Amino acid sequence: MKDGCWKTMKKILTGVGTSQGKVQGKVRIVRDIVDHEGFEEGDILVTRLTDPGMVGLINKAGGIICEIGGMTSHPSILSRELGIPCIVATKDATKVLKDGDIVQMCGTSGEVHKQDTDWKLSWE
Amino acid sequence: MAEAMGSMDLETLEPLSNFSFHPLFDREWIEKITEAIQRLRAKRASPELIAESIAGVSHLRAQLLFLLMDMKSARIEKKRRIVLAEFFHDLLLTKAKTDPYGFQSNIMHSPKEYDALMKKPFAAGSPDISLELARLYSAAYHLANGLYTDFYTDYAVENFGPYHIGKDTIKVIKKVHDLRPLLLWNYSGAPCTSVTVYTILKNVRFRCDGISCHTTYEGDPVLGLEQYSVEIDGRIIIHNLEDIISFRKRLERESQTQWQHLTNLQHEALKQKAVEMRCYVWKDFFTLAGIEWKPSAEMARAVQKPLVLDLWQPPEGDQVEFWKKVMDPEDEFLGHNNHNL
Repeated sequence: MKDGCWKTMKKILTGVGTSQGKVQGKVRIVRDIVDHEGFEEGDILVTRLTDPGMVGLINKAGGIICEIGGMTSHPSILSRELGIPCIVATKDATKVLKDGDIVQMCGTSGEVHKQDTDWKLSWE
Repeated sequence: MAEAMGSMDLETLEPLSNFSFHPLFDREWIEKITEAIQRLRAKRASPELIAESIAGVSHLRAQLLFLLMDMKSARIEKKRRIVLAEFFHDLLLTKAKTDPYGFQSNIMHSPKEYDALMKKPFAAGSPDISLELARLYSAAYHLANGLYTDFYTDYAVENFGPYHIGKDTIKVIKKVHDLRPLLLWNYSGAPCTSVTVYTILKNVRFRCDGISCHTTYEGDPVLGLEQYSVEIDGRIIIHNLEDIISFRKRLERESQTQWQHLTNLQHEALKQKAVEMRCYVWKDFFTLAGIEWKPSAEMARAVQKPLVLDLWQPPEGDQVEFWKKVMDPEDEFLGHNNHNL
């Protein structure tokens, strides 16, 4: 992703980046199994903490954002294996982000940016 | 190991934390381990034979760590702590071929064993293949996590390497085994017992800490995959990507099912299952010693007590020193809240 993309976005969340890479995708909040439906390849999986029941989503995700966790937590380990960015310890990602939000996440800085509609309109 | 612990978020241990669970049966566990050691010594079992009965070197490190914590929470006297710690430390030195404490790597195979392991067909890698291998490993890893929980995933999942084979080129072996443990769970829908992925990586640095599933990479392991091989229950499947994808999907389904089984257990049933798991991952060790691997009646009774919450409370910030003191058998440090026991 070009660095310039970040200019249309507003930082809304910071956590600990545990798997490098930058990606843009659609947020999918997953709290339980009913939230699994409709999860598409490349979606950003946002949850308190991944568990083995979410493996099908993890393997399709473009990136993972968790509210808790560290460098050796499962989402961090598996994201590094899958080559996708991961941010943990965001505290309240499932509240700040909404289903369908388009975000850009950076697994190095731990920052999540969301499309800033006002800014974009004024720019257009 | 203290560094591995220091980088953990203890809140993530689900559905039960070993930090509050193990203290329930610490004395009973130490008695069982002690009895096994006495019997193995009486039988004059060699360190090599005993080391063989333990699944992997990283698993041995992880379980030694738990034992060191148990000895503190059970307030075992220093002399006995040192004897038990030295027994397992010697086994670790026997089992690990280099870097026994896992500072950078996890090497269990001798050069001869390694050569034998690598005498198999390899195929050319690509980013697409690399992603599929990662998904396969992820599916097997998650199933193992649901079968053994966070406390004992190290038993089933082990990464070996890096084995340096040329300029900027390494081999890494990722093995997940015992995925159909019918003695522990009396059912299994898993399509296989073991999955081993062999990778040859270029311009990628691999490292792990004392627990080898804690992998990190520098460079791009997806782009850096030069060659690979995959073994499922000993059968090589490298020329049919559809087979790899099919196994992965079946493992994913089983992982979801197993996680539901585990999390549907009522709290007391979960505790009984967890004590059974701890004994199961030591099954071959106990069997070699000639004692029953299953939990004793005393253990089953002991875990009926309420969980010991907030026993191990590392300070905010750098936790490494805290864990070093907890795990040092010569140090009398009992953790900040151990006086509550």
